[in-house]
Amino acid sequence: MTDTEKLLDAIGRINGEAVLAAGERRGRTRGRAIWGALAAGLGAAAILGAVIMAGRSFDIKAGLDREDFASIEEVERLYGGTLLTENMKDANISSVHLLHREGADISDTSGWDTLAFMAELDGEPIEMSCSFNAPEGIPLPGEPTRTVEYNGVEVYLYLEEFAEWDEKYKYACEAIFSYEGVRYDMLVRLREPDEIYDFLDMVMGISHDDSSSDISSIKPFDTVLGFEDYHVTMEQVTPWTIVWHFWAEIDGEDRCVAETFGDEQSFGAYSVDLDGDGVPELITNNLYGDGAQEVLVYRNVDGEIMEGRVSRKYYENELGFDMTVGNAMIAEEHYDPESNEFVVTNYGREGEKTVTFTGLEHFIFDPFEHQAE
Amino acid sequence: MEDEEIIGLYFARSQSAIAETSKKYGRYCYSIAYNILSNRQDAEECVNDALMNTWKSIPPQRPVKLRAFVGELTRCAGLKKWRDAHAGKRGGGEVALALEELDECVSPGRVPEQEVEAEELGDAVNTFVMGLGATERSVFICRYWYMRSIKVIAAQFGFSESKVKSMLFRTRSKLKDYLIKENIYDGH
Repeated sequence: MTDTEKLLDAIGRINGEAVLAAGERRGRTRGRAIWGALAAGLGAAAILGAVIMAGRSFDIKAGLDREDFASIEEVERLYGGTLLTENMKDANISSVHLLHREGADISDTSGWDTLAFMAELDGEPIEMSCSFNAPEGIPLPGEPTRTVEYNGVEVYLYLEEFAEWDEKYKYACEAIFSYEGVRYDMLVRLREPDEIYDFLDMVMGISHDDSSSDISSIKPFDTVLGFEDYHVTMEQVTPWTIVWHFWAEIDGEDRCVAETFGDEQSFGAYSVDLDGDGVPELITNNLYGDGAQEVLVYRNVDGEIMEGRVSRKYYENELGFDMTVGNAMIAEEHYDPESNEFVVTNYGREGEKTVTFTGLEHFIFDPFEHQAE
Repeated sequence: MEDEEIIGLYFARSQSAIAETSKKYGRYCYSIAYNILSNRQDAEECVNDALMNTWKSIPPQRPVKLRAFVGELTRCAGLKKWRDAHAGKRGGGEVALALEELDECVSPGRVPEQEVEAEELGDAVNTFVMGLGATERSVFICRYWYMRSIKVIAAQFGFSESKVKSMLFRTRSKLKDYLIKENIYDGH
């Protein structure tokens, strides 16, 4: 066995927890399915008893009064501004109470300190508090297990495992974030750590119904790569990255023939016959989660789908850019549909340089392989 | 079925332990095996080998995380199968690419007259990897533990492929320096 093979074997001895954590695919499609099932299963109001996590309470601090409410809607009406509780319509919310300045009129929101309530979603208990006073100034309870971003909002997650605690739930997760001047502190019990994203989706108002994940009714072009019978699906792979997949029926099978990366604001795909063979190419402007921008061109060559990238030679010749493995991508590429030109900008040490070209001669094509999970 | 119950079946020498393990973690093991072997039949055989090795290992071992335990056995079985099929040559697929990339970490070679113990090397790699930042660690593990392609890793993290390559390049350079510093490989 060579030294390199021994090293590969040694990598197999990496801590199992780290291996499992790295292996988690944070594909949000799965989250949607769970959420859909939860939402569908939510029927009659279930009783929220003493199932909420132990050790948490909302003590009345000195100088504060407590006001109980029959529903969260009453509080939302009084508040007037945006409360993310508005996104929790599917949850059964109970035990709503507000801590506010002693003796102050409840309608004066400047005296509000903390809104606290319990909720239940298809039997799953949630506990939440919303702090109104100097929410940015409240220190975090410690180093978060993970920090994620939802539409520009940083969410700090604290995950704890309770192997012996409960047969049903193995984890508890506290999520802390601030939104429009209110600090939210949500505590939920989980079977699997990833379930926290389903709860966050709900609170953040991210919809995962079928119409948002499958945009098959939208056909941006008459054909894609010559296929008339095609559809488009959307997959959220991270909270800030979306992949659109183009599917076509080939030999009776639904096959992914192209994909494009973007965010919620961008969908950069264009169907243009660049080589004049009568079958339009699919040009995609890809925006990745790390901010890199890359053009990929898809072609249908006698039934085989090819994926093309701007060649490294072109970078070297036109931009003086040596794209070696150790370098991060410092060039931005995009296709301009108005001028029908490809635009490449190099942000190198010697300053910014932009070149444009048309046609496919600077692309290198390889067979496209869809990396399905 | 909970892991503890499945492990209990192994200790009771009940053969349903294998079926329950396969039911719960078969798909996970298959994905590990397929990444290594790129062949459906080989991957299925590899999962069977891993399950048999699990049967042989428990007891006496009592894994804390059964998923991690069977995953590691699957990876071992997959690499053994890959080596048998590619004896003396590198062959193709993600394993060959991973070996090519990792070559630079062991070059120019081990310290003369010193046989690196697998355990020592494993401990050193583990210490190094656990000291990495969370994202860097996950990307490294996805590439060299799970043998996922650069493209899959890029899609998983929402990164561009060039960022993943760049991140792995830097991590390998750091690993090489670390292994030299730990006197496992020779820096000259």
